Amino acid sequence: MVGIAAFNPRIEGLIGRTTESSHSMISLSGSAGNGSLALKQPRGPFLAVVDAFGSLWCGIILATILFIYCSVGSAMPTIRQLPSIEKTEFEWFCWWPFSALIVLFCASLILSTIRRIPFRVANLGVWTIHAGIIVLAIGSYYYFGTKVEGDAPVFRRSVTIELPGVTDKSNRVVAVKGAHKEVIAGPDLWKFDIADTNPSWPLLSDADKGKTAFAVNVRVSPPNGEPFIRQLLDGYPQYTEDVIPGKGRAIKSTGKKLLDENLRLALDYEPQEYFHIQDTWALFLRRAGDREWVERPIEGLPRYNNRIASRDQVFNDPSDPLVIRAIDLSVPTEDASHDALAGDSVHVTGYLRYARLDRQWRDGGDRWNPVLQLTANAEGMEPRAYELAAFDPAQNSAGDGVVQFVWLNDASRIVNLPTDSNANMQITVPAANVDINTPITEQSINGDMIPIKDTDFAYRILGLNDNLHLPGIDHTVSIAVVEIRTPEGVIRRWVADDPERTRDLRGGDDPHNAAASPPDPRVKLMYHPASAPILFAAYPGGLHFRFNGPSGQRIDRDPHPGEFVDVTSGLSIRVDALWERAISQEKPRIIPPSEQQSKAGETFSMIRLEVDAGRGATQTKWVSYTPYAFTDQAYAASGRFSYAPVRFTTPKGDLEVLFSRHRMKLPAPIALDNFTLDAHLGGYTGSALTIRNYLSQLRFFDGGNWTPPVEIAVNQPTAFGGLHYFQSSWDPPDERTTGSGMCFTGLGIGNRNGVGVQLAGCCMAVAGMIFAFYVKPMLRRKGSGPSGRRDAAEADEQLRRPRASGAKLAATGVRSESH
Amino acid sequence: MKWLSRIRLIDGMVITAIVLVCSLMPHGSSTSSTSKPSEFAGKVDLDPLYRTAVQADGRLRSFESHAKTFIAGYITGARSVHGQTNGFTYLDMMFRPETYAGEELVYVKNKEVRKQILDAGATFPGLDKATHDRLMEQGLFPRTLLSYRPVNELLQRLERDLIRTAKVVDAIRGAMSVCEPRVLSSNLRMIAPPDGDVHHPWFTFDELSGTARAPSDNMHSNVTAAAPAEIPGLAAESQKKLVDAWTGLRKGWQAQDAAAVNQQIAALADILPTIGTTLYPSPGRLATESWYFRYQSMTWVWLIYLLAVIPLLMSVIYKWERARTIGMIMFGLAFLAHTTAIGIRWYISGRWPNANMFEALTTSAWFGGLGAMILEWAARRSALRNLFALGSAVTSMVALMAAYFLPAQLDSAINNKMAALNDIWLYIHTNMIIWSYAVIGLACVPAVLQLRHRWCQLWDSRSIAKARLILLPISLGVFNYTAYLLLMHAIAHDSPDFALPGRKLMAVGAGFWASLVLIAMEAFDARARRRVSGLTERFASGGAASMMGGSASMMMGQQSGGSFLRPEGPTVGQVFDGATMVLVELAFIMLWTGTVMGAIWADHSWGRPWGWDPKEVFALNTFLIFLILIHVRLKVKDKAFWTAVLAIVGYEVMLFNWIVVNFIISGLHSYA
Repeated sequence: MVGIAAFNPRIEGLIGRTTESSHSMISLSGSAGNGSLALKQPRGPFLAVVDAFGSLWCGIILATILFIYCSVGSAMPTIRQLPSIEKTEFEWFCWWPFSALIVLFCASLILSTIRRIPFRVANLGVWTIHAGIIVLAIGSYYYFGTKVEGDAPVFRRSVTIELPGVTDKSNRVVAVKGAHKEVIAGPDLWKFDIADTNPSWPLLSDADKGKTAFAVNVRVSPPNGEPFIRQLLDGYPQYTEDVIPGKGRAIKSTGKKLLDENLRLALDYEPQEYFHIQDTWALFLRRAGDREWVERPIEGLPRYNNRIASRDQVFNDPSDPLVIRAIDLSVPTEDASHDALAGDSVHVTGYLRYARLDRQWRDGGDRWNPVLQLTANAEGMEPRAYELAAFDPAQNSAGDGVVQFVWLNDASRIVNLPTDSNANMQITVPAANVDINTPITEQSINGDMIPIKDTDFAYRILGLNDNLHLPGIDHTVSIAVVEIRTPEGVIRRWVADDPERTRDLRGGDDPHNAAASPPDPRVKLMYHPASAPILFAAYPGGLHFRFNGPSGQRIDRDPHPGEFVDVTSGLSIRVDALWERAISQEKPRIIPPSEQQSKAGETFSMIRLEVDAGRGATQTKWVSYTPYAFTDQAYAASGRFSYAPVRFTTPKGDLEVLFSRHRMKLPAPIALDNFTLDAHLGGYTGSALTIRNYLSQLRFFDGGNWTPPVEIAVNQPTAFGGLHYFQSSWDPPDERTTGSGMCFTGLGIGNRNGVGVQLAGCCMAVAGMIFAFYVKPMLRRKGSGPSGRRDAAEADEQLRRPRASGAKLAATGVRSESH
Repeated sequence: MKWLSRIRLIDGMVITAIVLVCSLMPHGSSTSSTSKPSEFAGKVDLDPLYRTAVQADGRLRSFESHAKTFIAGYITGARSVHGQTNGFTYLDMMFRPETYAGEELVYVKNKEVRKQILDAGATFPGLDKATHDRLMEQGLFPRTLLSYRPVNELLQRLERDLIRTAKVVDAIRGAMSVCEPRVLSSNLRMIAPPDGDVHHPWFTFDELSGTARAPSDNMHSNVTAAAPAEIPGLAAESQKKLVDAWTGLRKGWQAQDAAAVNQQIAALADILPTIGTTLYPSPGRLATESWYFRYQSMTWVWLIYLLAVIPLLMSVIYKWERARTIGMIMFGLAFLAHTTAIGIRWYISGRWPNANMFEALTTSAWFGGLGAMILEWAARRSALRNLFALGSAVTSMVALMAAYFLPAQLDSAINNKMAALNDIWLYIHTNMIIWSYAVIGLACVPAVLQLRHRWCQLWDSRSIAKARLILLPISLGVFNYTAYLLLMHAIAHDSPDFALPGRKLMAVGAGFWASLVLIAMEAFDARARRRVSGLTERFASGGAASMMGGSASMMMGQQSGGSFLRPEGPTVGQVFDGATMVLVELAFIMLWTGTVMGAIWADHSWGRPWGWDPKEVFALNTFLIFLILIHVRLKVKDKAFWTAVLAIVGYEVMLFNWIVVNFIISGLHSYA
């Protein structure tokens, strides 16, 4: 340093130390303008700034600002989440004001160290600390500047499906409970469902007795014949066998382990090739029917604050406080040359942090779609509103079937409305002069064949479907599915409450199939569905209300909207609105903060997308956030993840869109070889306290081969291809959804550039502190240090004259305590 | 200095006040009602059961420890029922649930929710003014009131408010379900798997006798038992003995026949350890665990610390050698007892006790004691002696008092560590951090004494009106408290615990500004005064440097090493400053090192050394305060004063990090 100073007078001035004397020590104690020796020389504005900057007070003030900045960012998230700031915790500390603070702090640190602390053994400690902090800052600049952090689920196995005549080898379905896959083989449709998985299926065969294996039960629905279950054991293909539901292992009833030798199912790895980056946004697009997504990152989308252009875009009540702030972000393609969808123009015109998509009805459609709005007033309870849609089986009744809404295409059909609170089947066999009306009870459904008295016929009811809206029929129909045994064989009949709709089915379940034919006239069936206690029947231009009381009393009325109908004492119902041609509208409802889950993050966020629909028109839909851009529904089957692509119609064909996070390709595909839970004494009970560890055996696809398994666990990450992989989440067993779980492991993935430099800086600082606080005084005490004796002597000199000038005293203080 | 002349009425008053407040504080295990244990409870001897084990939450607990987790932990918020042991209450609620239906039992932590429940249940029969006030005060509610329809409807409403009240309602519902005899009996897994299978859950008596589907209360005693569980490896004879003893215990209990109960308990305690012997913990461990939990997890050690604080304070302020002797002996005893408590916990849990808030707090205080012992030895011949012991005694006393008086907040139950906490770096990191916290706490004590000393100097100098002098510490206290309230309001304004309603906010704000103005005025006045009088001590000590350089010289007046020593020996201010600085320097290094180790662990565990998590940021913030302290010392003239002030600020930031950030601003570290 001194050498440099000798060459350049400017630097000499900068470091403010021409000779290593106590003069400079005195000059440091008085801040600029305090009449210190250094100021006696004429100084330019540059040096004045340097002086101010290199003063200790400047450092202290910067440290204080740093303290305040950190506190605000951490303890008061509302500040950094303001619409004009919109920063995550991480972003707040990578924002330019913070960087500027750190740069200023480091500059001040360097200046004051060079100018004010003589470089000698006694001050080695403080020099090392300060150098360490600079090294740490440099390391951190590199670290945070290049930080990539994300996560990826790695599924354990896929089921590969091989069928004769199917050349496509890519038919596979991920082994997650509930996953579904359809494979077309020639004219046939095969359906595969993952019925169950078991991470530790005990093996019972002699040689392998006592071992456990990952078991997958696939429910196979062949085009012909009954469905069966095929059990696959990971690592033991020889033990694959079929189970017939209700009958047990196939080998017992058929003598063969496999019911269909040509169907080959096997377990294979399910490699993960991507990971998603946290706190980013991206759109994923593909043509309908394609599998792979094309990513378009979204820049500038807010995170914490809603963006809507008007109240009309959401369902919230007028009284809800909403901030109206529009947004229009174009989401361009990243690389037009590799993007087949480059021509599709997509805009984000809204963002909601926490909302739910709701569906509501309104009038004005061009097709029949009757919707009824009711309010029920029961004594002692708050009034409740109901919305019934006659053509929607999920919405055509309310109150556990107490209230029902049906649609008749003609007022004259009112007389045919059911009157009995029990369902009945009327059976007529003209030849034998049989005409009976038997009640249908729960026991009679799916029971044994019931012979029809005095005839050769027998029947059994397979199921009831009331108030269906069938395509091409403009009123609701109730249907009983019945099997009839005739002398010639068994036929299946759809018995409707409208005799014109009754059909016999041969060789299929679809009533509109060519095989559907008019019913066999030898045996006539008529289905009288059970009447709900409260029945609303609408017809063009009118509404009829019927109450079928428990003891036979009946009320019939034609209520007008707004009118109250007294049903029983204590219960009255008001018809609020009836729309014959209702259309549904889907809009988000913003969830008020009190009902938000506190750690939901962006889970419930959504964007409003505007897609060019050609000829100057646009199509607008809300797209909900999904954390991962899965290629199909199967990955989300267990309910642990969401998967909600939205379809837009564009001139070039349908476009599917997914709203997720930016993703990156992994250095190599990762497979999960094995995943186990290490539990404490007594086993895993669902409580986190019973978990000792999670162990994932990972394999990387490196150079055309899978590497040997690498175990990662909590606190035991692994590195590959410049990234680190650590255990971050898992698939817990849950009886209601995933069953025995353990079908995937959640990996945290990130880089850690510059960590070594950071650590070096920290260690330097520690060493410096120890030196400054403990070694230096020892050196002094022994007087063995090159400067220790002098320091002590100087100090004693000062101490003998306690009433010396303030500047000198302060200087003593500085020296004796400069670490 | 003539030390004797410094005996002050005010010190005596402060000490008396501390002792009074401590003795008058509500007892940690106060009973829920005034009634005494019943005669039956007095006669039943549960001691043999204390040597039996229960498997729960992935570990083995002693019966009493298990009962404490369920009764005190989940239901009563650590209040004992009728002065009964938790074990007795557990069995009594299981065998005679009907007697507990209207009992004031379920602890509601949140006062606002208590009030709402009482408002909603205003029409509840028997809820008179006295009951109302008692429930409001103690927070223990009868289950009948909680399931009263209007109250239930209120709870359903509160449950929907996920941010503010859902957690409270969750706790209430959890407590009510734990009160069910079936839940109690199905969690009483006392029979080890005879085949020694570590991962198999232990068996309950219900499974054993086949009554798992029916609760074992009076109403169901006639329910015919289903087929008993097939327990591999359990001899039919043992099974029969167990079932007989359990049935006998139940019948005897329901008949309130203490003799029969005692006989069956003894029989159970004899048979149980003979099953699955490889898994069964030693009776010594179980008995120790039961003893430990029956006696408030040894948090009463704070009383011994109190007995050390008083003489140590005297020895520091008045320099009484005899007080020092007594104080050091008491401190040694207290530390020994504290060490025993830590050791027992270590022994019971099989791991170093630093996995939850209770353990972090008590172990931190213990580390402080350990450090103080070492420092006391190093400073035994210096003027700094006694101060470290005093600091540690005060810190440990406060820590253990917190654990003793707030058992619902600082749950002392022993649980398994979260999987993420099993790491050697984490071990070093957390222990280093809590040790540094203790040292920061220690440093706060001489810092406070320093300010008191300054205050006394002013008092003696008679340069300021006494009324102003009395007002000063009061306004300082008001300033700190109101600043805390306002800060919490700003941070957690949507939590009913911390949000200040309009009028209160005005009052607190007024208090804040008024005290701030008063303090500012005094500060300006002090500044002006300093120009003329020179009361300030310009010669501060130099921390460790002063101890190393001058431990001998301080006593003997030599000038060989220490830089701040005056020939006539150190002043009072210098002594306090010296002690503060020794501790601040230690804390500075330990906090930095501990934080760096935390970063090493985080990098190792998550591939991310620093994630700007609130806990990390506030660790940095605490460090920044000490960094500012050390550099401010280089610049200001009145070093001792500013050191004391900043040491206290650093202590407050540390507490904020430990308590507020942990409990309110949760981050990744919320389990530590």
